[in-house]
Amino acid sequence: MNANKQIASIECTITIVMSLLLIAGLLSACSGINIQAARNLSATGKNVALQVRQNIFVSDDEYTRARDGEALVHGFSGTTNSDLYAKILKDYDVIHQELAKRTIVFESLADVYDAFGELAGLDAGAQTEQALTNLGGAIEEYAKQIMQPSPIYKDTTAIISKVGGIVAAEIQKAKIKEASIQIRGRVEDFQKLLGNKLVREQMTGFRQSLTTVKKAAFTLMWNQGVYDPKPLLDDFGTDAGLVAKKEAAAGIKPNTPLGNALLEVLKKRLAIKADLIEKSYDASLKALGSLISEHRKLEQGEPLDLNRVQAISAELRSIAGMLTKVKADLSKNQ
Amino acid sequence: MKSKKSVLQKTVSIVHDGKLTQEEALKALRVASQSATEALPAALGKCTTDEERQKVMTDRDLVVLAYLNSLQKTLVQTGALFENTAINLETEAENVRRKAGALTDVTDAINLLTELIRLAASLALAFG
Repeated sequence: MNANKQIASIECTITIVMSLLLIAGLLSACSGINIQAARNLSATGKNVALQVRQNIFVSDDEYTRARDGEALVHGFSGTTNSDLYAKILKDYDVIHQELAKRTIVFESLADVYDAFGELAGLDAGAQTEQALTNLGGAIEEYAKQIMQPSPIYKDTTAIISKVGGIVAAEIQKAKIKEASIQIRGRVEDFQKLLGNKLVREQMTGFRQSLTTVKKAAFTLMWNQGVYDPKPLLDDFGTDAGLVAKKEAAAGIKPNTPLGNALLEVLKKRLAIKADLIEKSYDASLKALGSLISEHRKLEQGEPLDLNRVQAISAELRSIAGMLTKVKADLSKNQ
Repeated sequence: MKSKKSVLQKTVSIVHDGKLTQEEALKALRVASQSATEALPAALGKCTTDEERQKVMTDRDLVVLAYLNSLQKTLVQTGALFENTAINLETEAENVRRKAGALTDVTDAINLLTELIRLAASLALAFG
């Protein structure tokens, strides 16, 4: 009787192991997926989404300064009661709010990468293997309690657990591949949307316009002779280790050759910001393109080159830094 | 003077092409608006009366408003595309989380079964 039970037990064990091996075999097409690479890609993807968001939208500070610029030029021209001025401010607000709504797409993209990280972050193989080992132990314990031979031998429990772990890992890889394909499709759609010429003009054009208002307000103030140009004069003397005389700045008047020369320098510095707005947008599109390319590699089981994406992300950060530096340089000269 | 010439060249080029796309039209309005704003300090500097200053400002404001008005109209068109993209991304995040949840569910089910068997074993011991 016991011998029959043992034979049945062995048969049962073999059936389970064979079934698991069959499932593992069916899923082995996904074994090229590198789970660790998927984890790294999810972290990089989130980082890119947040960095791009920071780079292509008008910051609150930028927006406030542009509104201040409008106030200044209207105050100067005595048109603060003008309906046109009120309409400009109202339109600015509506447009700024409308564009700000678009930041939600970047938050959603970051969230998708968070979810991808959750999927890749699981250690399904090891967890399932441990769970099956525990299950085998529990069955054996139960059999002992009811004075029956264990339906599965201890040695085969280890095999089942191992194969079960492999199956779980393969299932996870299959799900990662499927998720990567879906996410790639969404990122491709998003890249196309941001690359749309009209969208690009809307996003970068409004920002350029705000920069122009700030520049006009600054120039108006410069022409009134309210700024101390000494820091700018000192900048020119830096290489020679010289600083401008204390009284030199006082001698520089607007609309004189030297006044105009310094104004031109400042205008060119401000113009850098306008170039950076376009550059920043291009770098953002490039970053999304790199993410798409890394997803493809992950799906094909090729090694990822996340350094490339990280380099573009660093470029984005550097542009954001340069935009701030232009602001800092100007503040220094004010 | 230079920027005025550049705006003029852009306008001529658009007319010559015979096709004016929406983004080109918007860009042309934006460039005109920026040129008017850039010209403000010099123009205001030349004014000698309040009336002149107000006239300069009104002319500039009209050009800027033409741009802002057109920009708002185009934003309505593309805004929906961003909304759809956000919805698609949110759905994708849910799908991926469901996949991760399904993986955990399998392990949870095995662990639950293990606990049930352990419970059965302890009950067998108690009644044995």
